[in-house]
Amino acid sequence: MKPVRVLPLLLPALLIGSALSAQTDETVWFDGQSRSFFSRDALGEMDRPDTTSPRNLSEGYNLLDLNTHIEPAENLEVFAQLRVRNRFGGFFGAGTTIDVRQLRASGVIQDKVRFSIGDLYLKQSRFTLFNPDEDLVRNEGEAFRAYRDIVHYENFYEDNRWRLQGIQTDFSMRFDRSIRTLEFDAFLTRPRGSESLTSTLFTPDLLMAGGSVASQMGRKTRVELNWVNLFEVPSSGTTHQSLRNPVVRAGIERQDEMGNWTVRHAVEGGYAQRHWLFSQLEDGGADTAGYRTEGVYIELRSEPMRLDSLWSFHYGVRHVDPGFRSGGAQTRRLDLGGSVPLMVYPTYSDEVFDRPVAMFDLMASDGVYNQMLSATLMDFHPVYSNVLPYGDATPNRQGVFLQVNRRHAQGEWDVQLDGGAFREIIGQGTPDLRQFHLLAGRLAWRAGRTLGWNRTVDLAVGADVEQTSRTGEPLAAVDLSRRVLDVSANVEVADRLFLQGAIKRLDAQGNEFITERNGFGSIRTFRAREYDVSDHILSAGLWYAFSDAVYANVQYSGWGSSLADPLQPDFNYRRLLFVFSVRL
Amino acid sequence: MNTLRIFLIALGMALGLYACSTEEFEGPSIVVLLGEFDILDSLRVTDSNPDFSVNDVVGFHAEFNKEVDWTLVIEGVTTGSRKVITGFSSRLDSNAVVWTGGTSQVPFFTTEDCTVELTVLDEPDTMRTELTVAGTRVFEGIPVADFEEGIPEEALVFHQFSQNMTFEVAQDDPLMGANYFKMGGRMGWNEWMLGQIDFPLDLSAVTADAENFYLNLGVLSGMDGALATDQYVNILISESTAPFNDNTFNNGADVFTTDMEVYKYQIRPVDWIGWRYVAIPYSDFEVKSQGGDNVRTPADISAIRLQCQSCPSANANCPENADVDVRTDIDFVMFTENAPLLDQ
Repeated sequence: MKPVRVLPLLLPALLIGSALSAQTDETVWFDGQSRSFFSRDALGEMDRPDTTSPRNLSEGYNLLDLNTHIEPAENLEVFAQLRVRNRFGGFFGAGTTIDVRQLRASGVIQDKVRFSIGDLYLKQSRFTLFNPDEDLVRNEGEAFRAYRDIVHYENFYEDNRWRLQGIQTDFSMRFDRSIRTLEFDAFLTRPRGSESLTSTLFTPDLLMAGGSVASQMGRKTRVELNWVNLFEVPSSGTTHQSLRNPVVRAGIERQDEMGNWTVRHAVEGGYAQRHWLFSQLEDGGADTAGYRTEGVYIELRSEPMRLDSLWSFHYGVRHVDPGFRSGGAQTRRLDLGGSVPLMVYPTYSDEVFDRPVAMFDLMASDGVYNQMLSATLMDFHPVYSNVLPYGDATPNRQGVFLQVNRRHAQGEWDVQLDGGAFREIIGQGTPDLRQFHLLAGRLAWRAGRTLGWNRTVDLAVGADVEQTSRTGEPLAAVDLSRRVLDVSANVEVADRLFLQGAIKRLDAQGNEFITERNGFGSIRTFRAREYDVSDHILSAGLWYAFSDAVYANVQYSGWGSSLADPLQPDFNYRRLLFVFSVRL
Repeated sequence: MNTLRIFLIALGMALGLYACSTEEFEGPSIVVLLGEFDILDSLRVTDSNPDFSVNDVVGFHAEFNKEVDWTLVIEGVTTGSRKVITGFSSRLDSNAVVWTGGTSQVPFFTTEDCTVELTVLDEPDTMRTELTVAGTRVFEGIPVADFEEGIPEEALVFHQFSQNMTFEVAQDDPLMGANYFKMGGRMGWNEWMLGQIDFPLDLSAVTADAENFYLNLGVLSGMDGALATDQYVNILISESTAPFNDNTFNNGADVFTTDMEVYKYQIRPVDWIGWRYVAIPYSDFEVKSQGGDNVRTPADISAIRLQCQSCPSANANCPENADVDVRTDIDFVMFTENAPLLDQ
């Protein structure tokens, strides 16, 4: 994480703090997170010898995120998170950094209006402001939890929320007639400040504003109206272009009971527009708008669930226009644009080749993850995610989706099935449309319960299959299939001590066209790609849970890729990992 | 069911909007991209006799049936100088694809005939035309030295007194104009530094920051096709406010001592034969001595030192250098703002 500028962030806290310094009933408490991390990476069996890369290399650090909560008055809290990080090998303070990682002041005015200033975690709906899950995370076993915990924590991913800096407020009203509640929420944030392009050219500030109104209409019906706008403030920069990306969404939900079932029906839709404003002030002319796209989306879904929750379904239809652009909902977590170097052995085969990204990088390199909202569609890897690379808000898709959950009454096992069939609405580079199919399933068996053992024995197996095809013109034909298999075991061999093992394997064959876009998101060209990839991670280790908040994990992994390409050799590596994590 | 009715109405509206779309597909046609390449309009220039000294601009035009990776190469028949322009498009727009007389690879163009070739990646066709440079480009920047009037009067030259030491202006192989400055020789004892030239500077009018402020200079190397091992140009830039040359008894300017704000960069190794033109952003200079605020501020630059250094043959450091003359000659030393000189 880059060091943040302390003064602007501390200022609100100091102002509030000094204004309330006369209070005598201040309350201060602490919590936080501590982590010790050590990894040792080593070369595995390689297709071609690699004499220039070190045979093994190690890296590690200790860090402490100390959260200070100060309650200077009733209904008011100032929160600061200070990070002390010491890289292994640092000596006499070298390699030690101290950063302010988060700052926030929050409170409730007159017991009615809640507010927060500083670092906010914001989410609205899947089509306006939402942080969709990263690729290949579905079905992942408990053995990789230490990696995922780090990736999510270091990138501020909490419950599909984006971490943004700004101000937020909400309040609600209750009524006793047909309208039971009215809930209001509004925020204004600055995802990115002005940045220098040259000594005289600066990008404008990127802001995101939003608001919601929701109402419970009677006992069964709920109505929501959302609005967000991702925009740039021209006067804060010296470039002559600025973004505008407003999105509105309306939805209505109704919950009915039918015998042993409750059924929630929902319909929602929205409209998005994106354009850039080109300022002609210097020439004395009026502003003009360019690179304009607009589109709508609509989704109808039903969610029946048995009252005992042993069965639940989630199915529906969705249409997202090709021109529907929502920066707050379509920004990807994974930044596969190539701007972030891989952390482990970025080159191989005597530094002749840049190592292609592998499944292990997605799990172990928190640096390939993104924390910044993007106004344009980010690059994605069709092998990792091709059906819905931008989550449910992926543009140019229409189709049906289905999810089935089945749970054993005594919790011995549960099964989840996901499926979807989508197609493009307009072709890319050809009038022919791609067809997408998605099928995923997961069975989790708590064998310990079934067999009546006192200790935990959990086994899970999952599969995730994506299929993309396009027929018609042979030059533009697409046929890509991808399968991911996850198998994991978590066995308690002694009190709180777990033996863990996991296999994750990805196979992909076929061809696709990579879409290249310009800075305004318009398609520039297509690059034909052939894939014949087999990617694997094998892992085994021990997990000791001191408590729910404290664990130590040591694991040994082998990972690599087989590329079936005579010009690009295969690669294999090993990693020993130790993590000691404490949630204070 | 009311919900279903609402949904059907909304779906109808959405599909209605979709139906209004007149686009057949997004982006360029894949069939055309992967199909047969065709030249719709061959290469043309807007001015075949440009005089770049009066800011003439040459535009290039061509059209293809699809978007391609193209490369345009202008090569001087006399100097061998090359200007390379690349792009990805189906059309070379003569308003956008232009040449203002600069070069991608030194030597610089002179008044000469040039060949122009346009090639397309993975296609065998080459489009050709010719033009004649009537006047050469005058580059924008802050000159340090071009040696056309000899060694600048205020500059200080020092060199060791060993074998074949040449720290003087010469005319036999200039990069630009008629003169250049030779820095070379052969060290007979265990000493890395052969010699240097110091220039006082006043850059107080500069507004660029260190990332956007470039030192540009040509470096000539290779005596009779031979290269000394680990020869290099050591560059010191001073932001000291001390007088440039109060002490006339030392071997150079007074503003590079260890208690002053001095930054260093090494063009190392100089392992090429002929001229090469180098551009270094000031932000790439490292702190040599911590005499100031350690903030590289172009407007505060007060002097620059260019040193010729090499691994000595004595004491078995680089014995192979005993029979080779070091050569790191320089020419056309200039600062530029916002972009390297060759990008102009």
